[in-house]
Amino acid sequence: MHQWQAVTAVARGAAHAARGRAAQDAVRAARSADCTVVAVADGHGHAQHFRSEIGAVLAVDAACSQGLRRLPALLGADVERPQRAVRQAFVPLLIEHWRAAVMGHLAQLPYQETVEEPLIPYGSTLVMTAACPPWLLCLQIGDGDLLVVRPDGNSFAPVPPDAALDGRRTTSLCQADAAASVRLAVVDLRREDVALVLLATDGYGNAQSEDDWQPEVGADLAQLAAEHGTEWFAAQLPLWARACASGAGSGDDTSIALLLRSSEGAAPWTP
Amino acid sequence: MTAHDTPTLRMPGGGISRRPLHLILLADCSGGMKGEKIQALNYAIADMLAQLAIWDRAQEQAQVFVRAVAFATEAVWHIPAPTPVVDLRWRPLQPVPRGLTNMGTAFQLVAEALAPGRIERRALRPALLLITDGLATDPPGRFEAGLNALLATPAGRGALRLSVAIGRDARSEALNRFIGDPSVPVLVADSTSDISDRLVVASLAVSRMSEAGADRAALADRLFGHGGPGDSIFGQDTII
Repeated sequence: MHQWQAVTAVARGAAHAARGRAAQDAVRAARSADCTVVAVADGHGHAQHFRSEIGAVLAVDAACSQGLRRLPALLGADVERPQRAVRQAFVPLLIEHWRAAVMGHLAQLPYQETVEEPLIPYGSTLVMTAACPPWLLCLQIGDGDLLVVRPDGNSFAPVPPDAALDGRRTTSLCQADAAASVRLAVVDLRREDVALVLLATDGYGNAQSEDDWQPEVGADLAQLAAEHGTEWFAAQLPLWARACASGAGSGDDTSIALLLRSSEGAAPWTP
Repeated sequence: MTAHDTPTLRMPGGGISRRPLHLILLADCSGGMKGEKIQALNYAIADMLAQLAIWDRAQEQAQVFVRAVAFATEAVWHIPAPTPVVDLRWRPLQPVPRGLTNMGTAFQLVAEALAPGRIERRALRPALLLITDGLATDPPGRFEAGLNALLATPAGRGALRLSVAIGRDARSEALNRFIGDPSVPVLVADSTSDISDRLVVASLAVSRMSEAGADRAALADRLFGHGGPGDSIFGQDTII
């Protein structure tokens, strides 16, 4: 039986470190008997999102907790239209859970500043994947990357692109119409041979020398996954994140998560 | 592997690099620039590029690539290929005898260079610096056509567009339209000796404001005076 294992890493961007600013990225992985969830989030850097590092943490927490709780029942083997089911029954819950978590944090730590819309300071993106066999859910709001890699090295981005994202402005969980900006795809694992899924905040993609980096990265990841187990990736991923976040890369906060298919029985590794 | 081993980095893909920051100079080489003006401009540009090279080496977010367009009656690439500022040796501009100041053709050239697919998707927003000593002399409709072509490209529309006017008479509505933001003033060099100072301000704007985490509103105020461009141009990532 195939197991899904998660390996994650996050690194503070060199630009943030130079100014003594905290990382605004977050990454999380969680697993139950029938579902494995991995999520990365990137809090917005603009001054009006001055609690976005909290918003990012709450985003990955919401993805993992709600994913484990809701998705196994929603993504049964006999469900005919899984994407519609997720859109209707999971996305609103996910966003509502994030908003409730934000309001809970806010109740503990009220604003000293004048804020017109209480969610805005916590603004964050979210990229998540959930392996609930026979389905693989891929979900995203805002920028970042999600790449599904086959064992032969071919790869594809299942989540449709959003032309509105221009590298400076992004869709966000803090928007009033956040659910409408959620992009998602559901991959049928009975028909699609998936070796791994790569999730990353934009600090990773912006560090890559090649504009179209996905095919080469996908091919290399498939090769590495064929050669190594999760322990090796657990040692490597922090190095990759640090390199991308460094002055030699994007200089931006970088979160990377891998969801790896394995026949090993080991538990997922999370920092 | 033991706990004391340091793993060797083996990263997938074709390697990493800093994000490109494209600076394109649009330099007036009309007949009126002959003599002391063009000499001062060449000196000022070389000095500005040297300052940018120092900044390029010192910071950890962007790699500056420079191109230049020389325009008079026609516009031609003076530096056609994006060249790392740290490798660039400035080749002096030459004025075109009796050349006019047709800016539209220069905008058109830059628009072609910034067309989708012509610059990296991960590039920071480009910076365009227009330097002129006179009013636009484009045939009717050509200035607008060139500017519209430039602004029709996402990169041109999103670019930091700055202008240095050599002499107060060169400060025109046309330059304001190129800049496209009433809070960004035309930088006026009252004399040839002022050109260098104005280009320093422009280069500071290009460099410091591209830094992630910079307080752009404060920098803009410092560089351009109160009411300078705020987050509408230089903002960190925020919501749509």
